[in-house]
Amino acid sequence: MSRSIGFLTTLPLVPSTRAIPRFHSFSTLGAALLKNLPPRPKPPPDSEIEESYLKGSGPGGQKINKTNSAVQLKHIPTGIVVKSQATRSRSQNRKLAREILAQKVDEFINGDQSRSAIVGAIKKKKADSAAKKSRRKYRRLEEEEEVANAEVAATLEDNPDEIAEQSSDTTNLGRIPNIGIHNNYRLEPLHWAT
Amino acid sequence: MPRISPWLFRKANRHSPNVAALLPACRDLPSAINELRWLKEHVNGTAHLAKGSLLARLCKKRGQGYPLQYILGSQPFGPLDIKCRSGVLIPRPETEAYTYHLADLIKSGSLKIGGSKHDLSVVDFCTGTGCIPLLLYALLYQKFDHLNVLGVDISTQAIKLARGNIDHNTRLGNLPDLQLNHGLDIMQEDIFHDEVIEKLKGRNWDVMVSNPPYISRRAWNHGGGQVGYSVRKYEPSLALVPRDDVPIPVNWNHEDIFYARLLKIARHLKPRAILLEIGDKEQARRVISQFLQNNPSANSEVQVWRDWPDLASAGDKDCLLEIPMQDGSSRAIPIQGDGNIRSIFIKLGA
Ligand SMILES: C[S@@+](CC[C@H](N)C(=O)[O-])C[C@H]1O[C@@H](n2cnc3c(N)ncnc32)[C@H](O)[C@@H]1O
Repeated sequence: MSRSIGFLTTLPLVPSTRAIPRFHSFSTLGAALLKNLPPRPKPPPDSEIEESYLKGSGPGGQKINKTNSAVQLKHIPTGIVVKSQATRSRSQNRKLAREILAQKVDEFINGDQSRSAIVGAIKKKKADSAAKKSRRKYRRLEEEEEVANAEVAATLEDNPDEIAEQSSDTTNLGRIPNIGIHNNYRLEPLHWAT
Repeated sequence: MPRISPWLFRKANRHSPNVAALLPACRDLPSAINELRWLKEHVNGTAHLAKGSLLARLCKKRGQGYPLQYILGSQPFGPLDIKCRSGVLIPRPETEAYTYHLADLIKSGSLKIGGSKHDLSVVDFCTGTGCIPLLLYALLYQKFDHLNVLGVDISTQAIKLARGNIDHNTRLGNLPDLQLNHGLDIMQEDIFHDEVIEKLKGRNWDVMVSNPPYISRRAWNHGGGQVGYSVRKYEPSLALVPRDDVPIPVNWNHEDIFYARLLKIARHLKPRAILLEIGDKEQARRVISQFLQNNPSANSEVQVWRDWPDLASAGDKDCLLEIPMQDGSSRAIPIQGDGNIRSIFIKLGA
């Protein structure tokens, strides 16, 4: 696995115009949070992805009843590898793995301007402000409510579980949406090329 | 099957006794942890009392080889939720993969079937849970004005389950409401009886699919690292091993008799495309050789698909399968996809 020189030309490494939204007061936090986020990154095209199946599984077909349908993807230009075995469905895992890959590639290209970094920064800002506020020892009821709202928005944004739900776009996936909030997918440590 | 090392057992036990109980069937830690998660969800969603002891019992049962899908009662198959019951074969991921690939080929129009007339008829012999016809229907119904998909099986248990699966997936919204344009059917027949041909001959069939029993009696009886322990012990042999009471045609092996029969049925129904799951490379060779020998003049195109036909083939894989013919010559058949050799796809000229 090698990170080819070629990726410099295939990935847009120009400085992004994205900026972390600034918040002047709590009252704008919730709304700004939802408005100013960059859109969820799209998975890279299949031509840039190397997908591999589980090797060493013997004869397969009728002779074996496997329950493991993990999917592993490698993004060729960056060498990023992700794996999903969240669900019992191979086709669902393929979809999930592509969404995780999209996020990792976005983080790689855009760094602290990536969507997940911005979500993280917003959460941190909110936590800092909340801490400052509580030191002031008084809170108006109204503000409290807004903090709560913003918190809901931020967790929703940052919760990987939402990825699973979003991907069930056209069809009802039966058991799949009921999968537990935790461990909904497993991200293998990224293998960076050397 | 190699023994699991005491070291791995200790490691599993540190997670939980349930993970350790699952290990003999799951073989590795990540799989055992995953299965425990699914079993927990199942118990939480179905039981009200004594959840802990129920979970422990199920982990033990699963660890002894009882199929996870029979415990949970289902297996995802594409967007579908296929109910599974003891007595009916559990759908395999390879079957899901080639069914998707077939649907993609049909949708792309490259088969030149159904395309212009917006009609399509597909028959699936040996349908089991009905996973193949249901998935084809779900993937294709928006593309055709008149889509007919029929599943045929001999087993009463399979027929009941397949029909139940149509209702279940219609309720879930995975299949359209079939009340109106009823194009998805399940029929009970023995494919070795000529009635099946009589009943189907009057209609036009574009595509014929089958995943018939293909395991040899020898592999079934002796296992020998070929057939999984859980499969041999808990899945129905009717679904996996060809029966002994039909005469074996000359030049055919016993484990291939369903293919002999299916190719004969195809000569009557005259589909434009045939897709057959097979067990391994040698079986693919034998069946293709018979097909070419028996249809020398057919204007046909044969392909072999691996387990994952839509993945790029890994560099170390052959891309041609040499087929020896009786006259000493040989034919080369293209192979596509990645994994083991899994199915035969035949396009027949008009
Ligand atoms: C390998 S299973 C395939 C099930 C399903 N198509 C799948 O892929 O999961 C073979 C099926 O063939 C059925 N079968 C066995 N003998 C048959 C016969 N003579 N006529 C019709 N179906 C038969 C069995 O009941 C079983 O459901």
